[in-house]
Amino acid sequence: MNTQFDELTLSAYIDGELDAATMQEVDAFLEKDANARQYVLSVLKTTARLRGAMNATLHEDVPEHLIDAVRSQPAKKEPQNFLRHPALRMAAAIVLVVLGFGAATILDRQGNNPLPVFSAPLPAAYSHVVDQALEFNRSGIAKEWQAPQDALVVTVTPVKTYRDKNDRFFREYRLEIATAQERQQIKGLAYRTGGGKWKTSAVFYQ
Amino acid sequence: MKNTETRDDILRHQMVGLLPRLRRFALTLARDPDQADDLVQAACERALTRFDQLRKGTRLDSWLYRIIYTRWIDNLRRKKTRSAKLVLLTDASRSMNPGPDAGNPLDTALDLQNALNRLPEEHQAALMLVSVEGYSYAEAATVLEVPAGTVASRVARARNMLGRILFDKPGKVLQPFKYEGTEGKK
Repeated sequence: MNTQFDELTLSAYIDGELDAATMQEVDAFLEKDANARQYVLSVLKTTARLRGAMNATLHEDVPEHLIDAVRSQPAKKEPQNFLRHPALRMAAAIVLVVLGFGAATILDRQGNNPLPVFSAPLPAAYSHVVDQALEFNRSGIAKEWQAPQDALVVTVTPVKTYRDKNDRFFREYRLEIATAQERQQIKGLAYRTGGGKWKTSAVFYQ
Repeated sequence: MKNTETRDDILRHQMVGLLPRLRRFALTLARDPDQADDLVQAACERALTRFDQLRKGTRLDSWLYRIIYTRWIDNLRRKKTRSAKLVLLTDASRSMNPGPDAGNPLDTALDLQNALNRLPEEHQAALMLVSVEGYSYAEAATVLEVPAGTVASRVARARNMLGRILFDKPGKVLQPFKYEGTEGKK
């Protein structure tokens, strides 16, 4: 058999990924071709050394914090204590007041079930971040805004995009309000009203 | 739910046993031991909250490798930076002991690690899984979420790149493995 094998095939030969017939052909080829033999031998030697070099990590002690993380980490994330930080409570209150819902109503639910809130214009300070994120950012790309007078950072990340029968665009987004100590998340659904503006039609607390 | 707890305990126990291999794989990607441990911890924490997504017949190690790899690629996309710490450390150690020293096993190991560190992440990961972990192309493909053929070509290319990096300098420690063929290549 006068077959010429390329590096891809020889590499697959080394890894035992060829079928039996091709394996035999490569065996026969290696008997005849010194270059190919040299290639296979060199790869095998380097692989052995690579394995030896990388195996050093296996003999190190695993840091205790990693073992603890596996043994002690709760299996499921506990529902977060909703809006523990005063600044976040205030931020949420602003949102909720503008939404036209009592804050107590939302806080009592503790986020166990998503709570839809309809017909909800966001406050101006937040809505421009939402507008810019939804208008210009692809899904998964966040838009961040730092509130000028306090330590709040608002991050809006578009999540999914839809279009209804009337060609109106809808986007789901994630709005994150963060302080140095804490971070809370709200999910929203908005539709495009034109001129770079988006109207939030529902907000979900989780 | 007693059954869930039992399964949970078994999986945690297995995960602890896998930690050395997870660290080795993460180190290949992150190139820095601290970053590698952070990556392993983040992946383990993620896995622990998703045990219900681990289907019967799925290897726990493959599943964890996939989480590590996905998380690392996500991090890279976010940061678009790569740590050069390991490379710098090993370069520094070399400069303190100049001259070829092919007989020194540590030198060879550092050469190999440095060379590996210079490969693109996806090639490193494929080479690690196949050559070091002993995964088949199909198994590596499920970890990397690419077709098996892509794994095959990444491994072959990684081997060639590794050869060029290792031997394209003075004091080479191993034979180059550039195979030119005898009748022309495709």
